[in-house]
Amino acid sequence: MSAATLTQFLIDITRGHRRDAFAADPAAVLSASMLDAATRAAVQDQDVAALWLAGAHPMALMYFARASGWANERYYRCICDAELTRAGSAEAARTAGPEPSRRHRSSAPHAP
Amino acid sequence: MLAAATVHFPYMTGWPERASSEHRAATTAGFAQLGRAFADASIETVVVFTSEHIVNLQPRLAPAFLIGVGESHAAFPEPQFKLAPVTRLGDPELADALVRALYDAGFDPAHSSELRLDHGTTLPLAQLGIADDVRIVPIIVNSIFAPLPTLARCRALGAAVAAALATSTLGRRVALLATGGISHTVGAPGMERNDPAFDGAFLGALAAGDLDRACAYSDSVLDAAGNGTHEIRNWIAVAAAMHPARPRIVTDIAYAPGWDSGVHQLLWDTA
Repeated sequence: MSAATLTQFLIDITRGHRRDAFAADPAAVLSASMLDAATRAAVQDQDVAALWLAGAHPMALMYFARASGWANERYYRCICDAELTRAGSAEAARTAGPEPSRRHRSSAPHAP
Repeated sequence: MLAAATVHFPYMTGWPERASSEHRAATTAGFAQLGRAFADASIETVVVFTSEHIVNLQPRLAPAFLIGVGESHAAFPEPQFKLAPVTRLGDPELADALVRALYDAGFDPAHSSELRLDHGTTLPLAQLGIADDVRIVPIIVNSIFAPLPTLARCRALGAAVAAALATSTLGRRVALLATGGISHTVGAPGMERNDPAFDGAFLGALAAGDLDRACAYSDSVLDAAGNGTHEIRNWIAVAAAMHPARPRIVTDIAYAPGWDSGVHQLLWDTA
């Protein structure tokens, strides 16, 4: 599953054609989606950190958080913490072998 | 031809009180100055090089350039920014002519009869006081879903639009408006700060008429200045359309605490 697929799904359920259906029955919309099981669970649980680390586009993810009732402060704190987690993991991996950490970029928001 | 460029960050309407009174006053004065220039020129149609925030463009379909050719352009509701749910008049005749002229010039913009506006366009139009009977031709430049059009391509687009307008037989009094930027971050860590050094360098290049320098940034450099910085494509397009004219810097606030942004505005008044 690509990050673009995740991003498109988040858009569809927050401001697109699946918005009303998702509000009425999120489990049904998720089960019909192309998301993998882990990502479906992250959406269901509003696990914004996991979705961030999965490569969701920042703007689409922010809209999802807002639609889920999150204040901006909570959202930014969550993704900053997720980045720290990523950095910690990358540092641990660096000691085992070279692997560059990933950053979210508009020019390549879904790059691994 | 008249042209302007301005930031469009929605904190200024959603939470104006967060900024200092000095910065609010300078921003209001800047918009007023630009708005007066448009009003004094009796502009009939504004061609807006703009960015949007996942209203029309999505991963499903993200053209480099999208021109609104409809009779009108309804705004996506954004009540959190205290923006009225306006519907702006379109200029389908001019928009159609622009699309055709751009095809002839080697561009292939997408076109939409149901393009929707968001704060990237409605906020500056409102702050400038652009009257309801002034027609709008939005040109959305993809600045959110990679791959993005290159800065050089945006420069060429601006020049091609200017050439099309210069040879138009429709007789419109047209102004250009660029919105967005300059450096900022949306939805990602670092949203609380812009990059004043980047902003100063970019503005300096535009003010000097040095489009080579303005277009020399790589996408990775723009990323480092903040993911919203890609909106400088709109400024480059208008600067290229007006070249060799140089703009006046109307507003230059390096950083406005509370609004988490710089406030920058340019005016090309070459008439």
